[in-house]
Amino acid sequence: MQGIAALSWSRVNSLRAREAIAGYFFILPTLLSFLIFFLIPTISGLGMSLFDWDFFSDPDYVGLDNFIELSRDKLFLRTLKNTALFAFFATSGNVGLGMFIAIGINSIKWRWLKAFLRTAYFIPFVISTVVVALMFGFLLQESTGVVNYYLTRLGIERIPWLSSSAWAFRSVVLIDIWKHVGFFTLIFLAGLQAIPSELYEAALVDGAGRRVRLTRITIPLLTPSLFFSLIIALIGAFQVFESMFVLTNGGPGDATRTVVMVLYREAFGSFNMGYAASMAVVLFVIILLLTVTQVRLGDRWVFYR
Amino acid sequence: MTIAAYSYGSSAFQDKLKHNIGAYLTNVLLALPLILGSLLMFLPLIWAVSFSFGQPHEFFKLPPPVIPSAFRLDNYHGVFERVDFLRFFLNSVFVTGCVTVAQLITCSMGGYAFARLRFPGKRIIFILFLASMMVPQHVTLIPVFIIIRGMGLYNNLGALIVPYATSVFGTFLLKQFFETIPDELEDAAKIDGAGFLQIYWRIMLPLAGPPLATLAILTFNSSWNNFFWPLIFINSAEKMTLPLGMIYLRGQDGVTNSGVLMAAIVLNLVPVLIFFMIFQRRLVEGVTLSGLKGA
Repeated sequence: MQGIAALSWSRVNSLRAREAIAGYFFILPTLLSFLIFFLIPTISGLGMSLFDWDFFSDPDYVGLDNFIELSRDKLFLRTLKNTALFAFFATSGNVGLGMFIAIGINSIKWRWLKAFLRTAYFIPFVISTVVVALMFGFLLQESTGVVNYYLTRLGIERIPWLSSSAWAFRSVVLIDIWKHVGFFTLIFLAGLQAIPSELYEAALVDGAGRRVRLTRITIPLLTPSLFFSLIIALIGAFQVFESMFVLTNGGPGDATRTVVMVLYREAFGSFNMGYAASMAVVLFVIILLLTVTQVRLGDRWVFYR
Repeated sequence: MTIAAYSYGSSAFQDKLKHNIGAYLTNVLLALPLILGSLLMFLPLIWAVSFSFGQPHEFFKLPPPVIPSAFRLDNYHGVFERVDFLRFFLNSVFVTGCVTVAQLITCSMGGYAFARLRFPGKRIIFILFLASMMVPQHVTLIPVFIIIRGMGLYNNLGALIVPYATSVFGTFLLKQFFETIPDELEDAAKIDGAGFLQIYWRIMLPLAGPPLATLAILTFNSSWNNFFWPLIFINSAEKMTLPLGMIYLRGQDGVTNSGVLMAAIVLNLVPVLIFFMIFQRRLVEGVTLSGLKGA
């Protein structure tokens, strides 16, 4: 009796062990990649921000000097401000417009029109940012661009889309919205489809009009999508790089220079590896704080069923 | 009685008609700004196409022709004269193909383990994986650069493949899917003496078609458009993928803001739009799914 129990125990144990071995085998590629390309680099990246290192000679430990220098670095502070403003406008534009386009599309009865509009707004999302930036660089030229030509036909003066500081910044935001609004539209459309139709039917029975249905049912029940959109839009916007790098190269002056652009130049142009690493840490901390704050505040306004 | 019935029917009919016209009008009113907005989405693409067929002097003609005077292919010849565009394209196909296939394998393996196998440390590893999605890639940039150089992959297409051979997002996506598969299926196979590898290969994978397709399309799209990584790791023209190749082309003589650049843009757009047309539904599902997961 005891023998049998012991035998089955060891069998169970060996089964467990086999399952565990299989488990580690199956996660091995992902785990290895995670260690080599994420965990080790993240830790050394954080550590690197405490060193002065030009890539070729030995690194010098400088404590928090890089961060102190960053707080006095006028260019960095300027790009931080640019990035924050870009994130604010691009996020509100993308998320706000995306929500209203989705509500609009959802209230249309004709299915073919719905499908067409959804596709139309989503197309730019699949085109690479580089191609989008090159295309708009061409269309938005001040004297020979098509856009300005038609504006002058409408009696509007030529707009220095890319050559004035204020307009270059606006152009970059507008192009970002052009490219990404369809993505957020899709997120909101999914949110809208998840709203049970009984709610609207009940509201109709109670005699609620279009506006009441919108403000009392649709918008409250869309808050989870809104919350999710705000979080990913902000995380993405703070890392913006490609469109400015291609379209304006940060200019005119530093009007469209972003944190990642100076980070890239410090690291791979000037080989100030430690300094660049400290910029990445600042960026990470900002993104982390914003996300945590949003999650905290989210409890107050997001409507969970 | 008949009269009453008739008049009743008529007013219902009129009400219905009124309601229909009302609904029709609100539909049109709602749709109009949305349709105009959608034109804004298409217009830049249409212009790019028309300029790519145009001739240099037409760029300064007013009004700029929406339909060029003749469909000249000069600009397209110009692209192929200046750079090895086909090479860029093939490099992109190769890199994207490898990344996509690799992710399908690694993510489904990882997803299966996290969903259906018990092993010590599973929870903590998974939480670490998820946390990594929050960290911007720029934190890891310089160390990864050093690691890739150390692997001898600098200026090598491998640099664009190896770091992307798996993804946390994909693993998560498939874990969610595999968790929905009923235990009975697996138990039956176990009784028949199937090992874990066989269960994964014979039972799990064949069921995972839809989420794998979603993952493939999302991965394909992001790998095809990846620019930052090639910018850092590739420095010779014959190793460039399309996005970086476009910047290289722009740097050539007389290309900035010319019809040649537009032709190259159109050459970029065509495969992407074909891809989009074929996989539109899956792509939309994928984005929606990733959105719902977060919400």
